[in-house]
This record gives sequence, structure tokens and C-alpha cells, in this order.
Amino acid sequence: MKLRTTLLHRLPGIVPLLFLTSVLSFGLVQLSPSDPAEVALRLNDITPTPEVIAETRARLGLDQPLPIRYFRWLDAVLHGDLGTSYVNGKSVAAELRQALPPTVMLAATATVIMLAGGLLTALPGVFRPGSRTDRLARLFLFFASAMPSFWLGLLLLQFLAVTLDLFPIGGMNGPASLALPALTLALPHMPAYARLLRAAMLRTARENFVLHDRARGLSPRTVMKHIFRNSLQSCLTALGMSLPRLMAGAFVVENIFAWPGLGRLCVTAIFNRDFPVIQAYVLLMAGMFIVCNLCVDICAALLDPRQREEAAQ
Amino acid sequence: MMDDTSQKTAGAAPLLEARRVGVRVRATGEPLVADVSLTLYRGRSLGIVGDSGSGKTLLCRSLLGLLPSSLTAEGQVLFDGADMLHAEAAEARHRRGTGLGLLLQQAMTAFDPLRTIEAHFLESLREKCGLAAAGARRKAEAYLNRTGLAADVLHAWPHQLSGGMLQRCMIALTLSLEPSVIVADEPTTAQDACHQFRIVRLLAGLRQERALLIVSHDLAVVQALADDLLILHEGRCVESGPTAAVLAAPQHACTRRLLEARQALSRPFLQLRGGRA
Repeated sequence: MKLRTTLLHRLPGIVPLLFLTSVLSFGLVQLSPSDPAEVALRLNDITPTPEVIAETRARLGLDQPLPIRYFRWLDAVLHGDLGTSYVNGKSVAAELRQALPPTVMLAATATVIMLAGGLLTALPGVFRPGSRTDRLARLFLFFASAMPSFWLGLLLLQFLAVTLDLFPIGGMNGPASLALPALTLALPHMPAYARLLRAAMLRTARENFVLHDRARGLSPRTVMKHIFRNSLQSCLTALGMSLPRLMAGAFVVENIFAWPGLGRLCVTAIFNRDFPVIQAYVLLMAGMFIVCNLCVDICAALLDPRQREEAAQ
Repeated sequence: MMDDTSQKTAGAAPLLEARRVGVRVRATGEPLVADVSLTLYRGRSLGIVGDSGSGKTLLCRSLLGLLPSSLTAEGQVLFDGADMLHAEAAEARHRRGTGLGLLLQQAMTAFDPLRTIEAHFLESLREKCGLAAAGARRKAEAYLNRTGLAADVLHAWPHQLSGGMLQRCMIALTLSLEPSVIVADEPTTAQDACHQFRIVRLLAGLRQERALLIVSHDLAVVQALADDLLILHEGRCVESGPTAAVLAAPQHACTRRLLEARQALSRPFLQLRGGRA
């Protein structure tokens, strides 16, 4: 019941947010200095004479004033039509539909690796802070957070795929090909979770209710369960930001590992000044951020009765 | 350290015996509690009185073997055949809750904010007493009733209850595990006078078949509940003996000061009532 109130309070706020994102995703792309009509012609090996450019601009609707173009685009988007690519004339929606599953698969695997790895590296610090395993885990986390993903990806490629030949170098062929890109995507995000969780669990372990649990002689497993549940809040908030960021972050990783996902689609579209594809991608990512944050708020409310009441007020 | 007058049940084995218990800061070796010995017999109660910072709470925690990791304990706390200070973790844990019950000082923060009061009861009674949900719920309701709470607090979340109610919930929860020794650290601080009386009566009733160790600033509560008294000052026991004797003829300056402070506190109230100070 209270969950429904939470939802009813949050949902109306999403409409203006989505409107704003649509303005931004349309407007920012239009700021690009180069003429998409000219680029589209060049890509198709047509010499861009002024006449042909004018004709192409008229065909793509680029000769209309900006607001009109925006509202036409918005109208089409609201009807589920994301337009057609300037470059190859294919439907943008179809291209996105094709590229979305590989990216979702990659991001989901990376999330699992990130959370599992974060938990594993956090636990030594919770059970035995300052122990050798804890110090080792922290050293590892330090390197993982300092490593940019393009560099990490190349290193993993060099050692695990080329030298040791354990994994395929690129492309999407079966689960083995998922391992390296997912790992590359997950590792730089992992330290944040491990640190958040470690700090939160150490803080919670000092809480009075934990002492009370132990004074009642509850088993260490039960006590740890309570500590864990009470430490999830900060990670949950971070997760709301990370999930879409992982999908957007697939940008670099997908290009290194030739992964046929959204990121690669978007990078190609950027090089080609393929506005409809870029706009659709930005809109999709912004929408993903909003939805993920909403999901996290719901999860937080499910977890904590105090937040449910706060939201209901 | 306890004198012979306290050993009225001579011959009976003590339930809990602390021998020269000390607590030190692990890093610096600074003593916080030193050389405190006490003995608890079935059917008797011991009051511990002292200023803030005299080590009362630390002493309570060390009796259950629950000191924070930054502190070390020395001496022995013998309970049910084990030394709570140096026993294996599991051995000490099995004696907590059902053998040794601890009432914490801060009831406001003593409950997991993410679980209802009922979840606390059901989990504790299942783990410690092997009770299934229905039996545990009945027992919880019975003990809540004894502290003057209605059964519907079971469905409340900790943040929905007042400090006084949480304190009574904690008393009910601790007592429902039926410990043979109850260590109560300021069990009535958050109560109004009416509930304070009720809790004192409840604890006094429990004393019959158990042993009670009660820590309090409130000399009136200690006077009502404790057969014997132990005065702590800067982590050391400065005076001990039967409550009436200690209060009638305090030997140590610290005890006298505590008594005077109490009289000074009650003076304005007496004046307000029209009586003489």
C-alpha cells in the first residue's frame, strides 16, 4: 500500500524530467558544427555540390527552423518512431533494437561481476580489518579504480586473449567472448562498491542494535545478515547511478572488443554525424537513468520502513 | 571483595562469579576497570552504583564477554562452567541470551531499524529456544504484557515507538529468553514514574528464581531492587556490602557524595511540596 503511494508520488515528476531530456538530447546534438547532410553525402561517395546539399537538407528536413524540427521529432518519438538514419536510411528503432540486447547482456554480466567482486573484496575488511587479506584487497581495489577501462581492456586482451589464448579477441560468439569485455567494464566500477560496503558494514557493526543482537547470543551468521542489510542503503543509491553508467560506459569497451552493442552503434553514428541515431541513443540513456533511479528508490523503500513513510508524507 | 553478609545462600554455588576483572585499552594499556570481583547467587541481586565514566557499562559488557575489540579484558568471569572472557566464541555465545541476559542502556538504538519488533522476538526465540512462530508470538505477547505493552507493538517498526516503549520491548525480549542472570544497565532511565515502578516491580519479581545485577544512577531504584551494593569509582570497587548497611553508613567519600547528590536533587522537589529540605 505504501509502495503504491511512493510510486504515485514519484511518477508525475518523471514527465517534466523526460521532456527536459528530450529537449537536451535534441538540442545538444544540433550544436554540432558540421553539416550532417554534407557528411551523409560524403559517406555515400557523392560529391557534395551546393545543389545536392540543399536537396539533401530538404529531404532530411534540415531546412526547417529548429523548433519545428524538434516538435516533429518529438511527435514522431512519442508515436514510437525514432526516425531513419541519415547515412544508411535504416530505421533507427530497428538498429537500436538490434544493438540493445548485446549491451544489456554485457552490462548485466558486468553488474554481477561488479557486485560479487565488490562484496568479496569488502568482506576481509569487515571480518578482519587491517589483516593481510584486507590490505591485499585494498591494494587491488586501488589499482582497479586507478586503471582507465581502455587501458585495462587492452592489457586483458594482450595477456588473456593474445598471449595465453584463453578468450576470443573480439566479437560476440558465445559466453567466452563475454568474459573479457564484462570484466573490463566491471573492474573500474568495483572499488566504489567494495569501499562503500566495507565502510558501511564497519559502521553498522558498531551500532547498538548489533551489540544487542550479540547480547542475545544470536549466531554470527544472523548478526552478519542484519549488518549487511543495514549497510546496503549507500550501495543501492550508487547502483542507481552505476547501472545506466555501465550501459553508457560500454561505449569504450564495446569498441575495444568489437562488441556489436549500443556503444559501438553510437560511436559510429557520432563519426558519421548521424543525428537521429545519436538523439535516440542519448534519449534512451537518459530514460535509462530515470528508470534505474526510480527502481532504486522503490528498492530502498522496500528495504527501509522509514523511507516508505518519508515518501508517503 | 563481597563481604560475608552477602553470602546468605552460603553453600549454594554462585550463578556468576567475576574474579578480579579488569578492562584495558588495547593500544595504550590504560586501565578503565581494574580488579573488580563480584558474585551473584540465585534469588539475589546486586546493585552497581557509580558516577558516569566509572566503568559500569564496561563492567556489564565484560561480564557477557562483549567488549569492543579496542579493549582487552583480564581476570575471569565464570558462568555455567565457562570463563566468558576467554572462552571460545561459540561457547560464550551459547551462554548469552538464554543464560546471561543484558539490558542495554540505549533502548532507542537497540533494535534493527529494518525489522519489526515481532521479527526480533521470533528470530531470537527461534534461534535461542527453538520455538516456532506461533509459540514465539504467544510468548512475546505474554512478556510484553508483563512490561505493560499491548501486543500490537509487535507489528510496529522501532522508529515508530518511543524510547520508553522500546526500553520495555527490550526488557520483554531479554526476559522472554528466560536468562538465569539478568544484567540490567540503567533499565529505567527512559521511563515515566509509573512505568518505572512497574519495571522495578517486574525485575523484583524475577529475582526469585534468577539473579539480577542492576546498574543505575538512581539510588531509589537500586535501593528497591538490590540486596547488595557495589560502588564503582574510576573503574575500581571502592565499597561493597548489603545495600542498607552501605547507604546507612557510607565509608568511602565517593559513596557519601553520591548520597548527598541525591539528597540535593530531591531537596527542591521536597521544598516545592511544602516540606523542609
